[in-house]
Amino acid sequence: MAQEPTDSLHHDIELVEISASLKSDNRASKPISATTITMAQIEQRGIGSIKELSLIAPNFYQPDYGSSITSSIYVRGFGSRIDQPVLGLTIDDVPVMNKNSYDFDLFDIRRIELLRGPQGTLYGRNTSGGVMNITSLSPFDWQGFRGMVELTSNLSQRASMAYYSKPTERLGVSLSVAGNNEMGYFRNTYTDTMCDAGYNIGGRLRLQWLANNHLSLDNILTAGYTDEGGYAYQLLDKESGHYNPIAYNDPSSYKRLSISDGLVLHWNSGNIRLQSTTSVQYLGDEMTLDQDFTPKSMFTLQQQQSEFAITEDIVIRNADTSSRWQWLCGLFGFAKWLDMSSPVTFKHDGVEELILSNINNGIHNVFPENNIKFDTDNFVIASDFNIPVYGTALYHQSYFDLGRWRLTAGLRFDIEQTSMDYHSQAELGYMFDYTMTEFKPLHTKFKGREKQLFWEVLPKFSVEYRTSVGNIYGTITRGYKSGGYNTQIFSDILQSKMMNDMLSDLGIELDSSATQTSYDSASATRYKPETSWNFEVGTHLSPIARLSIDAAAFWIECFDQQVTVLPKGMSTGRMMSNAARARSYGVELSVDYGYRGFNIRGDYGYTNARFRKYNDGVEEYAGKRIPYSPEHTAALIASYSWHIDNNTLQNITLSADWRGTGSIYWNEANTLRQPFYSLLGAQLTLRMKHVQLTIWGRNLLNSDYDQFYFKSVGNEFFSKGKPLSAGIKVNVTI
Amino acid sequence: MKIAKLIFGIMLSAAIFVSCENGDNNTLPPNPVEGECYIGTLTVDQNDGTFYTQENVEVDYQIIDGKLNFVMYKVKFANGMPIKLDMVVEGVDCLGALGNYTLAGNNIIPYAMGGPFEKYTITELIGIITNQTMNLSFNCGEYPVTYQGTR
Repeated sequence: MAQEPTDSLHHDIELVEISASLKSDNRASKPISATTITMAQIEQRGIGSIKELSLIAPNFYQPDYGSSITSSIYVRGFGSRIDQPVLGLTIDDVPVMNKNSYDFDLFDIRRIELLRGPQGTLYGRNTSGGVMNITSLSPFDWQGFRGMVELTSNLSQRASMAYYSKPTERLGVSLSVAGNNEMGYFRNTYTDTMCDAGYNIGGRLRLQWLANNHLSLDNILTAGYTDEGGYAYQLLDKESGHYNPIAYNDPSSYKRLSISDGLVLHWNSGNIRLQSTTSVQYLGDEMTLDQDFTPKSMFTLQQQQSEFAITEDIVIRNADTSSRWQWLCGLFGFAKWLDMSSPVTFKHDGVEELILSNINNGIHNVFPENNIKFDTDNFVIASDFNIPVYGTALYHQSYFDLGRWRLTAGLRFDIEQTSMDYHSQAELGYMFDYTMTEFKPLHTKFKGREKQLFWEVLPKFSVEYRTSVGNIYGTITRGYKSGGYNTQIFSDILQSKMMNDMLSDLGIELDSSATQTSYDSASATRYKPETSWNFEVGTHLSPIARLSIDAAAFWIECFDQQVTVLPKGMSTGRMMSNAARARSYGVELSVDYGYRGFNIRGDYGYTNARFRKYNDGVEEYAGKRIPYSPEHTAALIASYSWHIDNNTLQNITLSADWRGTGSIYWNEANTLRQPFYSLLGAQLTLRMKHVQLTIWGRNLLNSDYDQFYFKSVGNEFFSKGKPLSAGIKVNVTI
Repeated sequence: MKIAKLIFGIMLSAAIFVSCENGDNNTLPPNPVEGECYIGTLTVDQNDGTFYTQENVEVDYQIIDGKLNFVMYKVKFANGMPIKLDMVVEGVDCLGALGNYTLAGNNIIPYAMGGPFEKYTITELIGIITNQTMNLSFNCGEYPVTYQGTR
């Protein structure tokens, strides 16, 4: 028999054990800065993706630009635009192994927990900024049918439906599907189409079996497909300072198929609890880009990836939670194999402006009437990569309860090996029209193998003092982001190598540095891990009923910081470099208060993140703020619910939210920035027995703000945030 | 400089005279071992009273069918020239005995940048090559050039 819908659903779920994960500290007051968002809050605030958590959680910022592949996440001043993330993501305890899968539609999510600060001891690689643990709704939590349809002001549609069933007391089954047809907010004036339109569809099949009182199994199969546009990039007119309309001629899109199956086994012997989490993950995606983002036919990229990963995490923990000494030990292993193809096509304008002009500028000083010419105005630099990564880790964490004091000490040894087989090549014909009468073939290739081995020791220490109203704590942790390879620089390397090969074949050496690069070998495409130490003090207080206060102050020292570097000149690639040393300090404050039907919550984060040293070869940036990460994040959400004893209408909730962030600096020199900006939203929910109607609005003041800035072949681009939007949503729960 | 060039020219003429005296007893110098180039100074008369000098110019040679071909690597002929190029001069007459060879050539079109450079046709080329030294003098187009290298 189905349970009472909606409110009952949320209420029941909150009462159920929050997480069965042996790694989780389920206490409300734990020695860590954390933000927890319940299912009721997720649905009340209309959080549809991780990006929409941005600013709600203090010092957590994920700008919404590019496409779903763009999961640039910044926590406490640190983040990354490409490659290794600072934030780990687990879904139902299964670690998501590729950042490209981080942006997906959240549906039927029971709880989101964001742990800030390095979580390396328990979670390992790529958690130096924290971990986000997402828990989906379980058929043991609730049974029934849930459906949702939504229509937004730009005529986008979203829908989901799910069925949760418990055929027997020991078996739970759920199936949920969700889809979104996005009409887009930004028009490409060159093609006169919405550049960010697209669709996605996803599903989750969950089977849970309580075999007996000692053994349970939970299998979660998820799959998702997205086919979308994006890349609403506007060229900056450097003379006027205005942004040109979005206008680029070549297609830009992102397609992704992701499939993941996780099997979580829990075994309880009475003295020992064991959790085994096994997963297989597949990610196949294709990103097509007009890389110059102008109406010119310069160069395009079509990057295809196919990644297969397996993970295994075994945790054992003592079962006696009243014991003074509690401990857990874990063994983690993973392997992933990435095949990537990323051909860059140089088109007419690109061949002329990016390649031939560089060469002929030098030639013209001696032979003003003569040129080097290619036999084509369109050629491909093909780059293929095979990148396997293998890693294993052994970890331990002990908890000592000494009256009101709790001491925690943990240590993890993490080792990772990775290699890259690369094959980059291009073929064309060339001639110097002063001396040659025929085109001469030029075949340039760059093939080889790189290998890296990393190992890290990741300790954690914390001291917690507990009182009747909460706790205060101090924590020291070490985190790291893994190393890797700069696959996106290979077209630049080969382009440079082509010019050098051709000039060498001609017996020419240009005085100009236009063709000289500082990354002429594949060893320059490697980058090593980034590590950080995080020092934190904080408190969780609940001095009176329905009032909770969380506060934390942190200091982070970051070593070998991975910085995205754009090679100088009219280059076409970008690369990660361990070029910087940085530090960050700041505070986080969250206050939540409720009285009868009224609830108000405020979240604020301040970060002062600066380079201690960073020299890009031209300029020294020591003391400058780290770009892309906001100085302030703030959110204020207030709601009031009227309970109506009516057979038809049970409840009306009106909520308003304000979010703000800034300043965000766009470059290392700190000459460009987005000042602090505000976004205002509101939502009205009418709740009936089986139906809930929601009318919402976002960015109600239609604030004009930038989400992203980058340079490409000497041009500067900005990506604006989404404008005013509104929508109507109907939820059905039976 | 003009005096130095005159003395150099007299020395070259004398060497050629001596070489010619040896007649049929000519012995061609062996092709050099790869990597053992002559390294020396290239001087170009700019025809305006100034001279452009480039140090550490590498010159390599090869003898095929009794003719000497030489390559001057990464050379510039004027300070303002923004590129360095490899110049190949082929078909130079070569006479002499072991350790003392003389070169002579006229109206030779050099090769550079993938093809012939008629504008810089080599004239009045004379030179001496020994196992240790290479001395050349020629006009490259309208520009008088000398090279003195050792190995």
